Order: sequence, then structure tokens, then C-alpha cells
Amino acid sequence: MKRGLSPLHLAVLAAGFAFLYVPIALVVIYSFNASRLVTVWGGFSTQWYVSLFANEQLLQAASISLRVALASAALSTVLGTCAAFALQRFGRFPARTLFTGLLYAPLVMPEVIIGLALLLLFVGLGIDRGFWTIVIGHTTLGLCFVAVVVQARLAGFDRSLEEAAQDLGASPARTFRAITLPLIAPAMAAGFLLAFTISLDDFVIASFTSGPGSTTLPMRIYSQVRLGLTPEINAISTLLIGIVGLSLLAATVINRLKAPSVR
Amino acid sequence: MGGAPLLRLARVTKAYGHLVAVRDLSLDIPANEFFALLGPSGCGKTTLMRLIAGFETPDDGRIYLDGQDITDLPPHLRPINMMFQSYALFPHMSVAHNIAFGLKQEGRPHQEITARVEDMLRLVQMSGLGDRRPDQLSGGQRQRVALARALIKRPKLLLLDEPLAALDRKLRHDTQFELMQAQRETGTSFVVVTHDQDEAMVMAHRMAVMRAGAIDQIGAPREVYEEPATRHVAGFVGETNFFEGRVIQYMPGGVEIETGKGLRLEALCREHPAIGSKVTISIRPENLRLSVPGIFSKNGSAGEILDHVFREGLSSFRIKLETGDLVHVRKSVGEGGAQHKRGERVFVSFAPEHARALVK
Repeated sequence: MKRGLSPLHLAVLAAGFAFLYVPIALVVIYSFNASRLVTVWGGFSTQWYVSLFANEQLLQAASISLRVALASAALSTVLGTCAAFALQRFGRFPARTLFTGLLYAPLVMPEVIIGLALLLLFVGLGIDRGFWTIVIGHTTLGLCFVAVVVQARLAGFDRSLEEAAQDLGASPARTFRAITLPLIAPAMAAGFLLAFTISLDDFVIASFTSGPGSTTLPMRIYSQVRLGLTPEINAISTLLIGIVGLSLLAATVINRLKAPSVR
Repeated sequence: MGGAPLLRLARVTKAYGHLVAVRDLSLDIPANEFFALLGPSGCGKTTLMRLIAGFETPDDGRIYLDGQDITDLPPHLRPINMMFQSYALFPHMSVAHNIAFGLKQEGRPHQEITARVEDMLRLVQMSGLGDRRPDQLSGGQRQRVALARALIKRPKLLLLDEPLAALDRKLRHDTQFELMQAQRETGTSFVVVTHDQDEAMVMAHRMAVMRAGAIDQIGAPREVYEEPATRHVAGFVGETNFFEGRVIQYMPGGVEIETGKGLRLEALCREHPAIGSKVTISIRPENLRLSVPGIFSKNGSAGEILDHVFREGLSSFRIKLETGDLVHVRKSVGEGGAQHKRGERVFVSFAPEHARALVK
């Protein structure tokens, strides 16, 4: 077979990428539009980015979104790592299959249902919805992603490294800190970034679990768009795309950083 | 030296579900000994080593180190160190940090750690390579780092799990002598687990041959080779020829047997099998004699040379006896190993004192 791409290949490839990314590219391009009319190109300008930083409401929402994302990613990383250890290390404990299923369920469950379920729970328990209820909602989703990534790393982990550390006098706790943690850290970091981006761009769960004064950025964008598109929305969307894109890239790169193997 | 052995296993049993890995096993290992646990895979030698290291707890029996009961001590509190088969070097640490790890757990002062790491690097001829990462080392170098790391705490006992398995043949040969030297210089007792009888024969002061969770025989390599206690030991340690038959009469210090094919053979026997009971005679290839057929000779059979291979100064013959049995004979050139040819008819026999009749 000849290496390289025929014109047909290139055309299909271009169509595929166009299908995926043209809408996003349009948002980015129009965020630099000088015209106030969203659909008419009026020359290059960064004025919308300037006016964006004067828009209190949007900045407020962005700040909430970032804090929710950081908190839920941190929680997800801790809980997801624990779940991965339970699945990978504790052998065949009772209801292991059920636990696996429940852990992976949120990955395929419609977000509307997760959101609705959480809403019912919070209302039922009489918990005021706000910042922390969004964090909890996003953690239920994020910890699944962390668990998947960390479990994959644990599956390839050479247990004799931990035995060697204990043999040399390290207690189990010390072994975990000195050997296990550094070796699974890349997977945990990748999981953290995944959970972070998932939280940052979530709209559905947030709208079910937020309360007054805790409007996240995607919710704010959605409500503004209903009143009419403004170029500011394009600008903030472009920034969001940038953050999410960079995080995902970092997650991929970090997870590829194989801990140097000595098998 | 005190009376108590360095390590004592007293009637240790360990089972995994229905599989009994180690069965009612007792073993004493004195200080400053190079000991080998030899056996085929699945014989329980790895489980035994993990029991000594503390990674497994026996279902029954006790383990003593220097007279102290260590059965319930977790691995990190046992003054025993281990060299893992995969070496298990910490990939995120330099060579020096790998070696220093054990001392750091003891909370030793920084200066002492640095000095002792340097000493260990010198002992394993790795001076100047302390800053390397494990993945920048060759297989032989990793093996040395693993040895240094396991020895730096000056353990009373060092366990080595198949220490040479990951090395190529040439390197394995040199490393055997380095391990023996390290054992002499440190005075630590080494317990090597291996499935390779050559390794055990070369390195060990004493060896235990294991089968199915129990020890068949313990002794010096030469003793085990020359006086195998069971058929399994005779077959596992070195090459041998077997003749199975029933005891027909007692001889001074031995028995005469008749094989199923009517061959009558005499051999020494340390046990007292009943007349008519089944025994196996083991005779080493170098102890079989070749002579011209027709001359009166007993304790043997005529046969035809099927193959003749010359290797490392020795002639190996594969001979088909008239009874249909195949035997291996090994002769040095000085013993007339060169004078026999393929297809030649010879008489194969042995002196009864060179052969052993084994009951088990």
C-alpha cells in the first residue's frame, strides 16, 4: 500500500473535520468581529474582549464556574482514586460487579436524569441549592472519569515495587506515599483535568442543582443568548474553548508520560 | 556461634484454597551460608520465600530468626531483605536513591547514608553511576543495583528470587561468582530460589530440593548429586539413567533387581525394600562403562550406539540397549570417549557402588 493520502482521502478527512469544528471556528472568528451584528463581518477587533471584562455578570459566572470546577475536580480525584483502588486491589469483594456498574453508569446515563435525581435528593433532604450542590453534582460525574483513568494505570502497576519498599522497611502508609502515589500521579492529574473540563462545560446538571447567586458560566451564556446574541458571548465562549482545549491536551500529554518502566 | 540456627522454619504449612503450596515443612539455615531452594515451578519454593520475607502468613507452623519468633511480624519490621526476580527497582528514583531507600526508612543521618551508598556502589562495581535512572541501565547493571539495595541494610538474611533468570547466558556465569563473592564479603546468609540446578550446584553450600510443597532432600550439592534420596532428586539434579524393577535379592549394602525386560542389575541401597517391591536404580551417565561385547561382563547389557556428540571435552553417547531401554553415557576423551563410533555394538555396564537403588 502506498503511504500518503489520495485526494479522496483528503476530501473525506477535511469534510469530517469541518463537520466537527466549523461551528466552533465560527464562534472564535466572530469573537473578533468589529460589528455589533453577530452575523455580519465588520473587520477585526478585540473590543468584545475588552467589554467582556467590564461585564460583571459574566465575570461573576465565570468565577463561580472556575471555583466549582476546581472543587469538584479535586473531590473527584480523591474519590475516583479510592474507587479505582477498590476495584483493582480488593479482589472479588461482594457486589464488586454491581459497584463497577454503578461507577460506570453516570458515563452513559442521560445528564438530565442525573440532574433530576440530584434535584429530588436535595429537595427531599431540605438542602439549600447553591455552590456546593453543583460541586456535588459535578463530582458524581467527574469521579467516574478519574476512576477509569486511574484504574487503567493501576492495572499495569508492578506490585513487586510496593513489596520491595516494604521489604526495605517502609510501612504500608509510607510505601503508598513514596512509591505508589508518585507512580500513579500522572493518571490522577489527567483525571483531575478531565473532571475539571467536564465540570466547566456542564450545563444540564448545573441548572438542576444551582440556586440563586450560583449561576455558572454555561447557564449565564444560555440565558443571555435567549435575550439575543451579543459578540461578548462569542468572546467568553472562545475563552472557554481555549481553557477546555488546553486542559484536555494537557490531560492527554500527562497520561502519556509513562512512568519509566523497568520491567 | 550460638547453637540456634539463623533461620528456623518449624512445620510450616500454607495453602491457597485447595492447593497446598507448602506442606508441614521444617528447615534450618545457619549463619553465613549460601543456601539454595531448588525445584520445578509450582513446587512451593516461591511461596516458601514469601513466607520467610513476610508477604504471606503461614496457616500453621512458626518461623524463627535468631531464635526470635517472627511469624506474625509484617515484612517492613523483619531484618530480612529480598532481591526480586523483576528487580523491582523504583523507576522514579535514581540508582543512588534506590539503594538509599532502606536506610532512609531507618532514619539514618544523611552523611552515613551517602557513605554507605558509595560503599555499596563500589561493592557491586557501579561507582559513578549513582545518578542514572533504572531505565538507563543494562540488565546486568539493574541486577547489581537490586543486589546493592537489598544488602545495604546489612540484613541477617538475604532472599534472592531467581536472581539470574533475567540475564543472558554469559552474564549469568560471571554473576554467579559475583554473588558468591558478595556472600563471602558480607557474611550474610543468602537463600537463593531457583529452578536451575546448575545455579544451585555452582553457588550453594547446601541445597534443598523441593517437590509438591515439601523438601525431598537437603545436603551439599555434591552429596545430593552422588547420593540422591529420591527418584525426583536424581532426575532433577543432573542427568541420570533410570532402570525400574523389582527387588529379587539382597546384596551386601545393596540389592539386586530384575527389570520388566529381564535385565538383572545390582546397586547400592540405603533403605531396606522388601523382596518383590518396586525400586528404581539411578546411574549417572559418567558412571556407565563401555566395553567390547562378548567378553564376560555383568551388571549391564549389550546395545548399539545411536548418536555420538562431542561437546566441551566430553563425548555423549545415546545407546539403545537390547532390552529396548535408551541410556546416556558420558566419557571424557582420556577415558576413551573418542574411540567409539555411531552404529557400533558395545556392552554397557556399571559398578554397583556407583548406582543407587531408590525406593521413592
